[in-house]
Amino acid sequence: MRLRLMFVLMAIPLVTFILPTFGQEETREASPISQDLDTLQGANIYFTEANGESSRFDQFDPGLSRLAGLLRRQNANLFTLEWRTRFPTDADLIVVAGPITDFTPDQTARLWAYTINGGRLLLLANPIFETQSRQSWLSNSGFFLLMWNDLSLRGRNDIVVTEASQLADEEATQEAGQPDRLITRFTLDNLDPEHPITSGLDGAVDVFSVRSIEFDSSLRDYNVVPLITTDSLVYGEVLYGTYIDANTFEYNIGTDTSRGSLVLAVALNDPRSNTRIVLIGDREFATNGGGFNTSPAGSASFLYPNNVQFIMNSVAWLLDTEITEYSFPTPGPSPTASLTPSPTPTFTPTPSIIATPTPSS
Amino acid sequence: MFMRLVWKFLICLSLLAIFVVVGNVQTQGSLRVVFIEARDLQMASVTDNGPDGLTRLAAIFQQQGASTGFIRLDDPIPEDAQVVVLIRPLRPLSPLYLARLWVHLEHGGSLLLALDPVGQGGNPDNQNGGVDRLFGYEYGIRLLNGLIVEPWFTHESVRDVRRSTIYAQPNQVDHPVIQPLVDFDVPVMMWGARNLRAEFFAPYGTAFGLLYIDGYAESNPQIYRTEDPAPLTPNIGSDDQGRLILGALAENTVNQSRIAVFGDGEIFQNDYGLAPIPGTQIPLHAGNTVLAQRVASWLLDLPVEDWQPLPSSFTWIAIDGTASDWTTQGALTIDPTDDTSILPQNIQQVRGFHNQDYVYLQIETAAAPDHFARLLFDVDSDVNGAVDRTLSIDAVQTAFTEGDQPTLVSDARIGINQVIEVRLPLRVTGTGGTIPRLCLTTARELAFPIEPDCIENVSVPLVDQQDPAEMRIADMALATVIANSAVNIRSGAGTDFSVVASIQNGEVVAVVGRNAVGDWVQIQTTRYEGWMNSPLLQLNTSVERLPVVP
Repeated sequence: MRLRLMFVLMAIPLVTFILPTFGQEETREASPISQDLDTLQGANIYFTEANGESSRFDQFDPGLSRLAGLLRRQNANLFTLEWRTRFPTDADLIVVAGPITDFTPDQTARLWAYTINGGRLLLLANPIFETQSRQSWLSNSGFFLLMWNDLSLRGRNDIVVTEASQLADEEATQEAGQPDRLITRFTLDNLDPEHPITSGLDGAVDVFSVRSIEFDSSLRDYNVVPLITTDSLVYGEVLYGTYIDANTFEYNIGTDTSRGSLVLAVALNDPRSNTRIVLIGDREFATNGGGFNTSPAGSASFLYPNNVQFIMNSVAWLLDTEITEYSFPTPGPSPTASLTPSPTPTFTPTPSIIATPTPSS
Repeated sequence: MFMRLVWKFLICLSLLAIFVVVGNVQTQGSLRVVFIEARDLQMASVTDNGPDGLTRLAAIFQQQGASTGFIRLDDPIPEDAQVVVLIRPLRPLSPLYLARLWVHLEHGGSLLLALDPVGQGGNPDNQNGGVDRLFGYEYGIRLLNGLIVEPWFTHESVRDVRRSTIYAQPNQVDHPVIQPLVDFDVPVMMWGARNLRAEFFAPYGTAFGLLYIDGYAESNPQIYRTEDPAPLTPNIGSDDQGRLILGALAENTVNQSRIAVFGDGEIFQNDYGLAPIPGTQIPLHAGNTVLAQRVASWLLDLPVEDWQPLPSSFTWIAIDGTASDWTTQGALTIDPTDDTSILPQNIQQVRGFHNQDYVYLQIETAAAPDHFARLLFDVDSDVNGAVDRTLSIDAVQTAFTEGDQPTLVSDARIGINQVIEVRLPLRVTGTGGTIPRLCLTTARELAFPIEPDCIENVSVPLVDQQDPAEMRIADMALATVIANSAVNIRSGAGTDFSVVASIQNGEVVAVVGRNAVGDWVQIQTTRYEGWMNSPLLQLNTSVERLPVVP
């Protein structure tokens, strides 16, 4: 009798809690993008703004106000990094969104000391226009030199392009007798299927003007995962400024970044120091007028929901918190309908955000 | 049985003691110092044992139990490196190098950094550069762009570090690194120095200014031009003036890292600040060596009781009116007169000696000495058996009268406390080993003057010691002997005059004036006065600017 009673008592929790889970597939319910969440509760996120970075306060196209708004809705604490005082010890993540000028030596030293000592960094870098008088964040100087020496990771001095003539899409090919032109804006679905940042993305992300990223994670103690990769039609143009000015270009083997699959975003994890970095070669990837563009303007209907999800996943991975899947409202009619992402999942050029020269008469 | 237990206990105790000792030795041996050898910085090198090298500085660290090595900064600084040393880089630190240093400091490491003035042969980090910003905010030490200019400097001297020599004085801050130099009044020699700013109440650190000079710092880089250089005159508003800091220490209050920053690289280089007296191991510039030793100990975070003792063969007596630092030195001369007065002017006994540079005297009185005490010395400066000068010294000034004009003796010192201590240069007292007569009176204006109490034939025998400062003469042009052999000091401007003494290469003398032609200059040391042939000297001014001595 007692034995039976014991079996019964053991069976109760078995039936109540364990059996119902058998055969049940775990599903995560997507949260509406407009809903407030506590997933980043207490996280302190600092934005750098002293070197022409996109500002979290800027609600126009170059700004990051939408990203900042999303982070605030997840209850993150947002700050602007004050370089003149001691680096904050409570910084859980630092966002460097496309500085236009180089960091000063002391800023570089402070940021590097933070990063290499277990810091978390979301870094969006601008492509290089060699004709600009103030070129910043070159691959062989400053912060990128440190990253290359110690973490074998940096942005290249190029801008990823392909010739219109290379594309299969007939609309993109030039008319007979017209000179070829360069395409800088791409929709890419070659995303890493394993990494937490990209594994849950459904579809492609858009880049607007992007530099390629160089890395070497072979035989290292840390690992670098390429998150976004192009197909093999593109190359890294190092004289894009000349093309803009003179409307001439040439793919120079040995000078330009070789044609092939180029990496445009990576995630680095160093388990020795607990350092994590997400490096994206395109500042526009997260700006209001780029990857966080909406239609209708100012609504929660993102034109590039995968860009938004990519950035939010990056933040979650960098902060080591649970990734939240969002559901996005469908974009409505927009006066800038031409910016609607192409339904083609692979590598379809759309009109570039940056000025593309027209053939000279 | 009991004894066996006792033996076992003792053996265990001994093993434990050995273990503890070995453990301590290993701890001491784990101290690691790395010198930066980034070639593009063109810094002084620890692999160079020539005049500009740092092998003597490395030896100072090694004497404190540290191992030394070098790195190029392309790779991160090893985590077990306790101290990083960068001396006299001629180029600014790149962001990469600065980041390496910063990571090291954020881990609690220490740094010794010595930077020459901007524009004087190099272009190291300047005001508002990366180093300045980081160290200013985090430690309270700022780099400034000025070059210390003495009143007698010329455009030729500011362009050449070997001709822009100055003596930096130890600052009276309460810090063990500088304390001996303050106590013993020992300056530090510098070869072209820039000024710094040291702020005790910095946001995240505490800084101590160690060395100073009273003067001005020229910040106009046009002074280095060979054609039409900017004038060497202080400009209010742009040039710092007053008491200027030339070296500082600081500790970060958050991560406890330590930095020592000096406005001159040569103070730690082999044949400059750390040069020995030729043919010996005795430091030529004791102040520089003591400073280097104590800065090294502090950066290594050694307990103060383990710091290296002050170099031997020197006289370490502070002129502070206390007798505790007089050990066995000196001969005792007791007042033979039957004097029962209990007045503070009553001399009981005098202890005295002289080393290679100065006469030291300690005078005990019947009652605690009066702070207005005045001593009158009859001296036989030319050692011919006859008194030729009467020297007066009190807390205000030291002077003797020859003819109508009083001559000040700026490097004499008096300390009045439990006893009266006096230090007088040999060039004034002579080297005879006896003070013919010494009287004690008061500097007060009394209605009923007190008769001075005198003592005769005070013995001041020679002890075989150097003085830690070969010269304490302020406000005079300096000259360094640059001959291969000893150079004569003569009694007049010409080889026809008798030889007073000879001094070695590298020694520094004060320059008083010149003859009309300018081929001979009148010099002073602690021990001698005389004339030297000017081509054998490197002056920190031009001969033409010196006053003509008749």
